[in-house]
Amino acid sequence: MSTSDASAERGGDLRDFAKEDEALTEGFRATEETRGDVVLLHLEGFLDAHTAAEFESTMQRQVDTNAVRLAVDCEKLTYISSAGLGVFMSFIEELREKGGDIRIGALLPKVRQVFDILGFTEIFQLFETADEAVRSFQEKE
Amino acid sequence: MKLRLEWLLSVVLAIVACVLVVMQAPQREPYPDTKLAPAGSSIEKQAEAAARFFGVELESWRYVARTRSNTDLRLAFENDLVDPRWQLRDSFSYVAQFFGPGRDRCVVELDLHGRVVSFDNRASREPAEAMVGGPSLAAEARLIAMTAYERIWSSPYFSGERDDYGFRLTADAVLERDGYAFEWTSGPDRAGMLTWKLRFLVRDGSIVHFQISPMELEPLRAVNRARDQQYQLAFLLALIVGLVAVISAVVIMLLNLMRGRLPWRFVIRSAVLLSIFIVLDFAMGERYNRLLIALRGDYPEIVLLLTGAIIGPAAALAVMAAGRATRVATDFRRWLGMEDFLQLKWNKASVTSSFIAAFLTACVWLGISYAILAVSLDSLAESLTLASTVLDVPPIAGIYSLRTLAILLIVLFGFPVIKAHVRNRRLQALVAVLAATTGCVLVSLIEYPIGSLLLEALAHGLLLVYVYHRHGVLSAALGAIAAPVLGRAFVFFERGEFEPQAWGLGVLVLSGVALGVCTLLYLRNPSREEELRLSQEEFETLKRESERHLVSRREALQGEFALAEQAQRRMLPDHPPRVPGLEIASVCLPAQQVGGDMFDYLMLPDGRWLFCVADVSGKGVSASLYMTMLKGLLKSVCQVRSDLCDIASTLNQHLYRITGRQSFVTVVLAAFDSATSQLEILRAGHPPALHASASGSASFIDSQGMGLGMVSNALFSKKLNTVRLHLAPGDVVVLYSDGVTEAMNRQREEYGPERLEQLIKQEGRGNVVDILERVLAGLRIFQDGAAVHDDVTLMVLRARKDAVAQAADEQHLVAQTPASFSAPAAVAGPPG
Repeated sequence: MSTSDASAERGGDLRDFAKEDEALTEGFRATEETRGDVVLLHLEGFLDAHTAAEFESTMQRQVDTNAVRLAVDCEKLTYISSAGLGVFMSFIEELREKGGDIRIGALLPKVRQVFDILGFTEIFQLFETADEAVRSFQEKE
Repeated sequence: MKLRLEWLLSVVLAIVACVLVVMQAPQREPYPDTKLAPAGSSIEKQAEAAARFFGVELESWRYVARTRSNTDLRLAFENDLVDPRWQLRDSFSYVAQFFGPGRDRCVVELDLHGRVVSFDNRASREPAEAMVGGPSLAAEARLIAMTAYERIWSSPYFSGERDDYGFRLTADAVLERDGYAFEWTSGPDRAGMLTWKLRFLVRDGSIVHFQISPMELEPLRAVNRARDQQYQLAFLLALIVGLVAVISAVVIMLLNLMRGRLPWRFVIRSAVLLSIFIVLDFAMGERYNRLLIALRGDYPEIVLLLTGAIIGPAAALAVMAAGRATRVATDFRRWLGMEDFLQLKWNKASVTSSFIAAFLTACVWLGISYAILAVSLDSLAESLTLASTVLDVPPIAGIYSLRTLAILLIVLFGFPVIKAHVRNRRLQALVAVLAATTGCVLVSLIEYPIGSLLLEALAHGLLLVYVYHRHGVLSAALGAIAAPVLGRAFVFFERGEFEPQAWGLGVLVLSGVALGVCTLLYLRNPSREEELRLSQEEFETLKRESERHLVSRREALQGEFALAEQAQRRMLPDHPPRVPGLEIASVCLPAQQVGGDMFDYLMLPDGRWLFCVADVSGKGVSASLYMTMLKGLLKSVCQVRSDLCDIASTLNQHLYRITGRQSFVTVVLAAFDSATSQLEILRAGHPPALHASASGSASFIDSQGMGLGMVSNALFSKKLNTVRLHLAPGDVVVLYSDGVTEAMNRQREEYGPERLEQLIKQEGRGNVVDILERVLAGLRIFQDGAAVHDDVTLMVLRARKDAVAQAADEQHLVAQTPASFSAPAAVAGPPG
């Protein structure tokens, strides 16, 4: 994020490069928030092949810290590619084996469409809002 | 491995030594036959016990005053003695004053009925009043004794001598009738406590003694106020500097610990070392001190001076050279976990951290030199103290100045280390001085009696840890073992007897030997770090070589990729099959050299033609590997199965097992029956195919189906269906990967299915190759030079006007790679 701020001041041609860079590497952010025993991940920006690694490490961190109940807030997730979906895919089984789950809330229509096309709706529980996703964990308790 | 063994061994040995020393310490008893007064009894009780033994009634043993400044001690007693056997009754007062940090100047005043006899072991060579003539201490003492006890004993004779802790007066008063003798010893011990021993010898050979030690001391203001203030000021300043240094060192250490820069094992291991040393020091410290004092001995002052001036620095240099030559410091640092800590680039906190670095350095040099230097240093200090007495300067000034000088020298030796941490030259000097002062304070604290034992041990321990860390096992072993060992050895040679404590000494020596042997063994091991140390030249050469290696490696990799690219391109059919009633054109443009997209044409067992576009999640090498596998799988499955759902399920079954959910594949399968012109389409997680009828309408052919390899077959098959549609002549079906619909322009807008639909509606007539190229051109215009992030695969199927099969001429179209796509294209299509 800071590089894009800095590059905005440079102007000219650099700006274009910076933008492209941003699209490649800076366009995604995952922040963690703990709500009880549920970890809520706020995703933001573009989740594609370039940024999937970052998301993967975020997910890995959860698994490593034994956080198995993950709710994902996709309200600000503007794009997801198959690589991004692959990250969800690669963790779901392990988490479910450990008694956890990934529940996804607040998908934007375009992103939701990608989920639909791939058939992810059959695998993941989707919710209208992130709060609902979090609550769904607690209700089952 | 060896290093670990070595440490384990020496630590174990050191612990054994400590245990032995500590266990045997209480057994120390110089007078084995003594009947002691009850332990813990007060002075009065002890005196009474002794008096009872002799049948003497001790009416009073009055304590008059004990006063003490930082360096001086004054004790005053009044004593009444009554001996009923000889009808003797007398009283005298005794005032002893000890001066200087070493308590080695002593003034004793005996007052017998107003007749004062004074004795000064330093300043006054001429005894007051009765003391005439005798230049020697013994003679003086004898004179005092004779004067003082004239009236009590008929033929007393006394002897006086200097002892470890100052002086000792011995009065051998032999009573002719009963054959009693007693020895009276007094003087301050190392910690500034006055030890007062009376030892009575009875004719039958038994001995009794009582000891008044240690006496409680309390602060004082009365004596020599001016000098006190001077000392106190110096002490206060030194204490403040020392405290600031120690506290900041601790704070910085803690900060680094919390930030994870300094490993906890550093703290733990340092603590272990420190505690070992503290125990050792408590057990051995006294002996060590005896050595220092003894070596100071009765040598001519010029000898002491020369010794201090020559041997001190020479010894320091030798130890330094040994430390450098052995270079085991790095290993120890690694063991301690300090490596990273010292290699930190100190930017923001450079001043404080530099100070700490220099402080450590000072301590280090102090530490290695301490055992050896201190002896000569003390000798030098002694001479200066003597000189200062003559010059009427406070003796402490000599010690202070000397220590400061010595430590400054020491720090200068360690200057390279300071330089490594501090850039600014003035700062370097400042840091050196600060460090020297701090070290000086620490050493000076040792000389002081207030709680000095603990401080001394702490200082010793700190010094030792840093000796270890900077100069390696060998010099540290020297420092750690030399002091107590030499002390013990001295006691051994002096007394000619092997005291119980000496067992501890033996173990210590043994551990030292073990440590030395292990160190030597380790040093012979060729795989040492210094051999990895490179000169600038070697470094440059290595750098060039590694760069060259990298370049060649990169070239090799590029070559590999080119081969992979070719191989993968060969895997795509180079031209479409001749399918009655259908025109076909396909293209696959990987975003990188190799990609995860593919397309294929296969004849099914039931005679239908299968058209397939697939996309492996992710891209690059891993995706291309899965893609290759998919190609093989598809080929083999399609040899035995014709049902699209069957085919998809079988693929899923394999992929689910193989990918381990790390990757998945989306695929669209379309089976065309030339006889009926019917197209069956299955979509597994893939973007739906686009169907544009000849009449100009277009729609996406959606159906249910999850991506391959995501879920087990049970769920996968449940959510799977196909769509059948009849292709009228001129109908166009476009199969594509998401690289098409998700292509982005510079504004990060997606191309989207709508644009594709629109384009096909408008351009969906004519040759399939034209359609294909128009779609690619449209895509290129939309992207407007923005970077391509995903593989693009397109397959266009078009039903011929004449649905009846006709032998089409075969024509290969080698597609031109569109300018915006740097990746190669494989476009093929039959003649239009």
